[in-house]
Amino acid sequence: MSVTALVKKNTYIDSVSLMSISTKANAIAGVSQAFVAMGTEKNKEVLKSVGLLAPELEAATNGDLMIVVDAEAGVAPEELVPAIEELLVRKAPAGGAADVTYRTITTAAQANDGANLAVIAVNGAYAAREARKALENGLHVMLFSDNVPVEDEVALKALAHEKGLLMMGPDCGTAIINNVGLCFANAVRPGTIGVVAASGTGSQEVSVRIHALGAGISQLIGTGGRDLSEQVGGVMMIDGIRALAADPGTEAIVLVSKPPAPSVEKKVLAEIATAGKPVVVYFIGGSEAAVAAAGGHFAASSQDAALQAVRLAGDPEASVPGLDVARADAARAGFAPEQRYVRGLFCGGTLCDESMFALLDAGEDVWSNIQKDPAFVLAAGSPSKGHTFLDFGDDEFTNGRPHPMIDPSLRLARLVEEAKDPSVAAVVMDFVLGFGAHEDPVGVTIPAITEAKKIAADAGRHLEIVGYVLGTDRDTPNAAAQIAALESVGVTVTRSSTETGQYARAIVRKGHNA
Amino acid sequence: MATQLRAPVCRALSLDARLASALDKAPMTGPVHSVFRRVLNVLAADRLVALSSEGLDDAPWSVRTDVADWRRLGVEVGAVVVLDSGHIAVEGAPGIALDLRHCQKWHATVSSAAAVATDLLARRTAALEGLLDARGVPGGVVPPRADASPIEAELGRRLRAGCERLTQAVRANDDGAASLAARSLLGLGPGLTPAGDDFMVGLALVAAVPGSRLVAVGRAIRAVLDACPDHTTLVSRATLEEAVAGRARESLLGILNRVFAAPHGDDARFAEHLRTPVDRVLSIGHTSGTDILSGLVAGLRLENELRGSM
Amino acid sequence: MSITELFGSELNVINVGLTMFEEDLEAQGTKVTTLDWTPPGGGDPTVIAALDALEAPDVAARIEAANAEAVERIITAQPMLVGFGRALDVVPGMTPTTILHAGPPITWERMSGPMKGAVLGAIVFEGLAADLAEAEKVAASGQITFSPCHEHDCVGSMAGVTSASMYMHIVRNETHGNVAFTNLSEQLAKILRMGANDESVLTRLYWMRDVLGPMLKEALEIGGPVDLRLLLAQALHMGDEAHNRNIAGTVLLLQALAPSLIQTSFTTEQKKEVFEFIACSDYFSGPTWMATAKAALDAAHGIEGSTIVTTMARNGVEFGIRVSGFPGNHWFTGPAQKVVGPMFAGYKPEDSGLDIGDSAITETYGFGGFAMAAAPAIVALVGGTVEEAVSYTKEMAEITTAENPNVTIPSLGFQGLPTGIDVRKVIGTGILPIINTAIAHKDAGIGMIGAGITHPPAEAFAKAIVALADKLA
Repeated sequence: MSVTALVKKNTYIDSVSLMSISTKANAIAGVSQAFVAMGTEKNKEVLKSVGLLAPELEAATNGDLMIVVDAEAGVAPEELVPAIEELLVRKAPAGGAADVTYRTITTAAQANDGANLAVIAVNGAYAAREARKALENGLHVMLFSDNVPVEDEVALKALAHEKGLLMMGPDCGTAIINNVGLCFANAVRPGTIGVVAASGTGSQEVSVRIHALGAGISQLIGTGGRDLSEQVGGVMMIDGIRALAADPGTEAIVLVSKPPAPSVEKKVLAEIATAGKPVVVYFIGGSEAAVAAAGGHFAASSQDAALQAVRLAGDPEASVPGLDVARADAARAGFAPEQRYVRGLFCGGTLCDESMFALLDAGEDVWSNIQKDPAFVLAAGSPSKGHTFLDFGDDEFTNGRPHPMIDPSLRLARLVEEAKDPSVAAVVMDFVLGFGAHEDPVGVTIPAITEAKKIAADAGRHLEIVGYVLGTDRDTPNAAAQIAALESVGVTVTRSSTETGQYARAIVRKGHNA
Repeated sequence: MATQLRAPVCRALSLDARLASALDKAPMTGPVHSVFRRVLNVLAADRLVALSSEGLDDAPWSVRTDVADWRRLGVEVGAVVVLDSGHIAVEGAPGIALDLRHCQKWHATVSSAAAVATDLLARRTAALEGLLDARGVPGGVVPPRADASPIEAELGRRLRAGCERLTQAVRANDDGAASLAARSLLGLGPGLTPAGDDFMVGLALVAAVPGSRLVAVGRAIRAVLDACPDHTTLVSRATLEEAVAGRARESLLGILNRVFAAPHGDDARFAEHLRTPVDRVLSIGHTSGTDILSGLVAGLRLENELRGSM
Repeated sequence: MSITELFGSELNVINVGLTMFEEDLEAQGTKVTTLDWTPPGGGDPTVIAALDALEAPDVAARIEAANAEAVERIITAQPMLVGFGRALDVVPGMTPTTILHAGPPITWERMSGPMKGAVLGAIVFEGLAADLAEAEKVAASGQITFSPCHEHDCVGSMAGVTSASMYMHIVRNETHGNVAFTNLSEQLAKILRMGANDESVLTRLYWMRDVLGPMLKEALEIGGPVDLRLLLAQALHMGDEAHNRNIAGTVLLLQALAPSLIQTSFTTEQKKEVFEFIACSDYFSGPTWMATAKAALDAAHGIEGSTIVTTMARNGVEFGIRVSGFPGNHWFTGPAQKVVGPMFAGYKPEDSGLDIGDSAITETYGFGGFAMAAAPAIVALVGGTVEEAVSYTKEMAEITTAENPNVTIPSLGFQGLPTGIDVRKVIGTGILPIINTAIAHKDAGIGMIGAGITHPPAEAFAKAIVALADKLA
């Protein structure tokens, strides 16, 4: 062991910096281990006991900083000291580059050679202009803003296509590029599955399910909700498929969208044949025949999309457990005869869709603010009736207030309202974690859950509350902690968006368990 | 407009009431001891007075200001600071002229242990422990990650052994053993407030709650601080001395006061209310917040045990 | 870079709009630059449409070419002080009953307090009225021709009031051949250009007409032309920004003139008076630099298709700009703004007159407020901090077209002055030009009461961009 040490008299470094200095010092080539600590008696004893108390450290006092370097064999430790001292030199408070703020994309892009992507989240009236500036400066674009005129979207996508750039959005909430989550995304494992999605929460769900199956994401390209409309023509999805087809890091591709315009669906499916990689298509409520004919893999649900992709990307053994029928039966047995309805209170549009379709599929009538059938459209302010599924992220609700993933107050009030309705058997809710989301969506809901349960209990009813946490073990807060918190207040927790729908169906429809 | 003019002086937002009354009696003068981003420490009248940033808690012997980054104000260590009942001025930094006359006074207050029954205290302790488990940072008294270096491993081992010895000694009401254990912890850990000290701060705060059964803790720590005045850093020593007297930064007192508050609401709600101050404490230093809370939890568990035994 | 290249590169994000995304990206270890973003043109759809129209590639290409020429002219202009002379003798279009004033055109009735005070003083000074009361009648009678300095190749500081027998700097742009004029500094606070007009003010003006002006004229004839751009560059290296701080420039100008001044035919007593007058205020060279800037900017005016600002001037009621692409006297105006800054003892902000004077020609060229990084000592006069002074200059680079390599700022690594204010960039960034200036009392007859910082009204630029879009797109 070859050790060198030095003492910095009266040097105070805050502990977070000290920690980071220690970490960096240990990473210096040639360092076996390095230790940076205040020169207290006890710290010296620790060094002594591991044989690193160099003589020069004996004199260190509690106000001094000690630096101990244990070099790897063949490296002279004193040669490493300058590199470590370098770490201690406080960087001058930014008077130069860091101080500069830019007002426009053009100036920022010119000053920052390496810039390659712009995230734009400004009022829709100005968004197209900023996106155009970004594209003109050679930047890929993630356009988060909504309320961008469709003509602008068409023009922006034409420009991006011509320049070979990504034009994600407008109204694109989710993307993962080079393993970096943009806007609303979950922390998922890097991997070999590429996603192109016209639906924000839908793509979050698919990426989280893929992660849960042990696989990971290469790229997740959000296209914006209108990309597959007749007018826009799927420009971004087609360019996205081509980019993933050419990407050596991607082995399987998943497409996620609400049902596209028929002509656009045809164009998109035509890309599958030339992709040269397996493509899973999850177009909610789409046709299996068309997908199969195009050589794609049809997915009937978000869970199915993730599962197929994982199998195609190299884990043919991947599987998911089926619905716990006994649990649903038990819940159903606890309801009073008049408790017949499910109320879905969702933040994520695609999650709401998927659960709602599970009931519609079973022949139930469902009222919703996002219903396609005008006879069953329920306005945002109206009270629930029968089975009601509400997407709180829809424009009607968000008008003038933050997205429910950030401001949950409307949904909390609604939960308490639903608990007072004797015809309600269950309330189904989603809790979306990840970048951009509320820091503790479950925690903020727990008081309302407790209150709702109490209202029902006081009236002699069992109110089943079903919760689905969309998140991973890498999100902050992590999914396990949120699930534990839900379970601690008696919420039935489901394991995927797909299972959430299945469960909701099972507790109101005996015999419809799968 | 980005070109708006800003006032060149910074403002004092609040100050420790005890510091205010000390300054009313006599002005203090002393050198700048250390400058960090969010704190500037002044060594005046044999104690550290902290000038802190808006985002930080009120704390003993501290003045909270709207300064965002003290390092950017060009203050050198050793520059003379003059504090009197109305103002704080720093030599060579005319921009730092804090007016104390109109700023709020903060009082460090702790409620009594008598208000809360043993079973409730146990549940609340468990809630706090749950938060700490979920959110604490490993590396101090919490076991380090598997890839720790031999030094870190040895440090961790000693820390946990010391903590264990100290709690055992208090449980046994053995003053001698408690002092020895406290001595083995004092100054142990790399940071400016060593982890061993942080743990004792948490423990000492519980002991300082009126009606606590942990009086042995306070006695032991005081004895060790007197016997080994130079075994730890000045900042840490000052924090420990205050903790023994039941004074600590606001978020810590917040946790303590919630734990010892009269019963209200259910347990879930209690954890919810605890979350904010716990997060604030956890953000102290690198592992410091975790270490202090570990001490606090250890103290609360002891408190419960000792109540049961009486 | 192509999408495939993006997938192979480290992500480097420019974030526009929500800072929360910056935090998330940083937490993932990604480099983020968040813009200090405001909607262009204050969010006015007409203005944004105009800006968009000017950014169409073919239009933009024409504008770039025109602007390059305009800026080239500003930078290569070489203003030389070639003489002094009476306004009546040297200024184009001057008559015995003409009174020039600062800023865009304005009638007597609408003039601000300080300008009215200066006009009345000038009428008495020219012998057009026996006293101030009579001057009031003369001013309102229609006998006086009021006209902007800028429309006569002149600039005038503060009220800018210039009458026939006042002595003028004659500054010729050697490169492009045009000439610019401005009158002489009155030095103190209680002076005509600030709206003061009592006996002491008039007495000084008579002496300037009879002694100072003729002596300077003779001195120039003896010594020959003085290279003002060179002196200006030196002054900036010595800590002036040459609008509100002129201590170095005045010493340099005196250094250039002194050998000739002592050779003039005046008495030693008169020479001593002149030297004492120059020494009594650092501001002596202030007007000189204004004429320097004017000589350069006039050469850049009237270039078809250019969006470069060639004039910023205020009459105390309105702030007007002229743009190179609109030849002649096409003013775009908005209300004059308040000036924010320290006041002399005994005055309050509500005593302030609104922004006034042609001195913003210095900022139009690229010094004054634009060069605050060169003059850290200025912060004592105009308020703020040294860091802010430096950031002002950096910010002005965002709305200008080029750096002037002939006049540089040492503290910024000898970066050239930010040159060529582009109307498109002002609207696009929301950054308004910054102007250092003096504050005159709002009432006639009192004078200067402080100094500080101001901006043009955004409105003037909004009108200009809409007109540019109409014309060019």
